[in-house]
Amino acid sequence: MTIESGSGNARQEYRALQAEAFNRIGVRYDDAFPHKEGQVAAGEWLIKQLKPGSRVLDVGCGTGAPTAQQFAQAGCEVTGIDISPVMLEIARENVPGGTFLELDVLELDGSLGTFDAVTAFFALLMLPRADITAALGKIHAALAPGGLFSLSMVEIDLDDVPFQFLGAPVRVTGYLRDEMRAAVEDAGFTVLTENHISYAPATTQAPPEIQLFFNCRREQF
Amino acid sequence: MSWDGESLAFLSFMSDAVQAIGDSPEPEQATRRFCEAAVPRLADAAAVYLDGGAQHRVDPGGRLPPRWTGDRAGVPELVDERLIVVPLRAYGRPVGSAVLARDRERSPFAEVDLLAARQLGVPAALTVFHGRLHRRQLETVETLQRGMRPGSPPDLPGLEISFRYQPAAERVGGDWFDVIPLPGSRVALVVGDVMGHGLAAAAVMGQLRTAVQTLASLDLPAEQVLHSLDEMAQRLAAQTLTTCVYCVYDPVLRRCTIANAGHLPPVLVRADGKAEVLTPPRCPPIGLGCTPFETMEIAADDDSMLVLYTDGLVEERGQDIGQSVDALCRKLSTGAPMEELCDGVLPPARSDDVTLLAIRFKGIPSDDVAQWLVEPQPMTPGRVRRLVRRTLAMWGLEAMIPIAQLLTSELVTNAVRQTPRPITIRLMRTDVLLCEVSDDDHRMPIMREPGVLDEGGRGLYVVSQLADRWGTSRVAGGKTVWFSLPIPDGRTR
Repeated sequence: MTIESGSGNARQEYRALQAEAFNRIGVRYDDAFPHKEGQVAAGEWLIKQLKPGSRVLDVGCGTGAPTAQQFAQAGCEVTGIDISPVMLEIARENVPGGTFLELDVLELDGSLGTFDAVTAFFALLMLPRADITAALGKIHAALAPGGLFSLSMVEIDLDDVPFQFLGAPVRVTGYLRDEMRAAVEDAGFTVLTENHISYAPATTQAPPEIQLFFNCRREQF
Repeated sequence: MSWDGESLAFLSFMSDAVQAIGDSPEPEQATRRFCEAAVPRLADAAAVYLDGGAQHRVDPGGRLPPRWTGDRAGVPELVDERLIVVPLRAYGRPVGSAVLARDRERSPFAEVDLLAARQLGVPAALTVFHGRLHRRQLETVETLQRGMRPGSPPDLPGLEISFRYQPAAERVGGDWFDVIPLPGSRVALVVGDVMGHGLAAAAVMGQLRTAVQTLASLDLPAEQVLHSLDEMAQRLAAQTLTTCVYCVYDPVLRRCTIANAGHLPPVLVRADGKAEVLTPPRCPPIGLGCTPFETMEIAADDDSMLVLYTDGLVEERGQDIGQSVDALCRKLSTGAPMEELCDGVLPPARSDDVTLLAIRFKGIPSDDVAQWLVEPQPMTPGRVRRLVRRTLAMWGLEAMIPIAQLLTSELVTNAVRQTPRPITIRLMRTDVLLCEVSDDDHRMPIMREPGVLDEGGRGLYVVSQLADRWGTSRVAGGKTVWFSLPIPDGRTR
């Protein structure tokens, strides 16, 4: 069920559908997920280890809240990428100091430079598993050796399956925690800490979920 | 024919007495008036006996017995010159006996006294007969209504319930309420009011209440429940209007969905005691047909309280209903405990049915819920066993791991066979361990007892034998099969 990376049109179409869903969701996303303690804690974990002025990339930055905001407030140079223009608009308002680009993680090519840290909070679950592997590779490449990577996912055992999310049709992917950890490690990261949070969204439009947080370091090669 | 003064006076007395007895609304009054008419005019003591016991006695000398069973041949008679016995009969059937007695100092009874006593006995017997018939009918109605009438709601995790249900003086009414458990520990909360009073309203209520129960058990969305109820009402009770509020509380998500068909708005009392009138979309009552229904979704924070009620609770003659609802809101804002609040808002005197259902939201901590979406594959049951082990170990329920793993994987195996699309597994720890497996296949599983040589078809049988409780429910978009296991003592939260 995966979309072959590189087969241009199919990829574009896939991405457009996912982007459209998030265009429709917009600010409702933060209404449905008002409590982001896990994500905030992961951001703090990174900030503690980063010097002011560090370059941070927020993959799938969404509304910019709370992650890009946190980094901007901590004095980091934050770049957010997302495929939804509507989300990016909200992010630019939420985080005036950040740089926000309409860019797919799979299109990262080094032109943005090297980053000291990368976050991908609930972003990679919009990609089929084959693309998640590729995305982890892109993130690895965008990080300086020894750079930090914080990833969150929902613990689901699905590969590219249609799903109604906040009333919008999306396709979602995920792993159970052991498989997720293995995928991260296979991509050249060392998992430093791992957290699991049972989470109940503030809406009947999304089911309760278990959130997985992996704080990792890029290995030297 | 001419009448002398004495005869006229006697006729006038008889006429008044017959009228008074006949006017009695209750058998007790009729028997009292009989005795009061008889003493002292006709006798020095009088009593009416029903079912062998004295219903009423005027007997200053204490000569008449407390019981009277011998009504002899069933005809009025002068037993002796100081005692008259009149069998009371209505429509040819015995109702009881009237007994009159005279003191020694007084002249003995004459034939005319017997005739007078018989005369008074006729309205007394008829009134007693009709009064009792009326009571029997009321009892029938009450029995029927007790059968239809909501009993104590079940004890459910994630909420506390308080209710008041007081039918009006007529004893039958069109009010009802329900608390219906749904899959996923959700709960449907219902309060309805069939317009009109009495048996007709109660009969419609009984049918609509059953209909709501059935629709709720299909786990239809709230607006769909009211829509379907509206359609059913067209067939079941044409020309009758009903108002109904239907809510679904999800203690895990802490959300409450409210659909309102012409009913008074629910009141939400926040955890800090402040009460507010909710404003769900205004939809017409049930019974008009073809109406669209809409819902509102609210945050159901822990320790806040939803109050549903019927108009009998707030309606006051001459007062604007909006003001009455505001007054209710103020009474609910005192911060008192739930039972006290409920008592505090009940009207002192009522002319209408009064129903009140208050639900204190308690929530289920999200740490006590684990839920996964999984794609059905041959290795899925094995993976789910791993999830069960991990989760139960985290909850300190190690002893339950083997049985929970076995039963969960039976349900997951069934689901994997039935659908290629994702299935949901939910584990929940409340006072029991609950496991739900949901898929998008609408066919409900049927349990059968497997033959000794059958290789398949044992899944549900095993679950039914080993689980404390189990069941299947239709849910929006498919079905849920669930089981629960008791949590050994000391391990409950």
